Amino acid sequence: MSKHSHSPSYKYDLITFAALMILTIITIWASYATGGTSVLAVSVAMLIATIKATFVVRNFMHIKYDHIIYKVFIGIVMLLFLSFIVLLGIDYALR
Amino acid sequence: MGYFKVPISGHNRDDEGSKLGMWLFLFTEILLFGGLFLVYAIYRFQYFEEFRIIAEHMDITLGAANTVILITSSLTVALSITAMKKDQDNIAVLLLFVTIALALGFMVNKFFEWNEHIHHGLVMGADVFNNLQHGEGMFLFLYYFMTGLHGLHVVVGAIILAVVIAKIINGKITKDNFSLHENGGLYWHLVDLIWIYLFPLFYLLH
Repeated sequence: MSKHSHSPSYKYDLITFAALMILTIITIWASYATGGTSVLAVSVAMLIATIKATFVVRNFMHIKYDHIIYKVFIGIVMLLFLSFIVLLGIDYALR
Repeated sequence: MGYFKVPISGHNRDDEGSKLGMWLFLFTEILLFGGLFLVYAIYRFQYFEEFRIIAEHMDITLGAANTVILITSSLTVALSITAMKKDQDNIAVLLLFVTIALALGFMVNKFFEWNEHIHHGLVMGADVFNNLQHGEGMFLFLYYFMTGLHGLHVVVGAIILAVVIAKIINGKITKDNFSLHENGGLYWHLVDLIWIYLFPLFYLLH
């Protein structure tokens, strides 16, 4: 279907790279701006890291052009990990 | 429809199956590191202040340099696969050599970084380490274990890419048969992906 309907281009890889570099600069700047260890700082750092990870998975690992089943699998794994974090948070909060 | 059909070219090959298998392996890797991230989260909650204090020993410049190195190496791998799709074998090989050089650069950086920590006694067994608060020691333990395990993945990834280079040169990986190249690339991107989270957690949050 949509598989490999795109033509490979260097420009696409370079744009992704530029976005990742800009986000790296932003995350370093944000760590100073938010003071480092507050809940806000941790949240901002993890949010930016997740945006970067999305760029890598979508553009560099070509998930954008892959069959829907890969996206479903990734979604399940992310959901599994997220549920671990939530359960951990609940467990920690109720101790 | 027909996306996962067996090729009728007569070759005993299933590229889509290989890629799916690679992704399943990557999921086990993500959950392996995921478990470690959970351990990190627990101790970060428990020893909030101690984590902040000990994290000041981390060198942001070296960490940022390694981040730039890994992102660049991810780019060179992606470019090499693009080059392979365009039937430009020589460029693909050159870009993979650059990637391995960057991996080497990453490990050299890591060596100097760990050497510095060990020199300052921030290592298990040293007197300085034994006098640290429990949470500070826990941070260092997680730091060595997680970045060490990640470093091992960098080495393995570089070896896989070296095999890919050899196969391209031998003509076993071509424009029409570059499944190994693509899957090797996926593994390398995973190495980058994990570092994207390790960098802020160990270097920036203090």
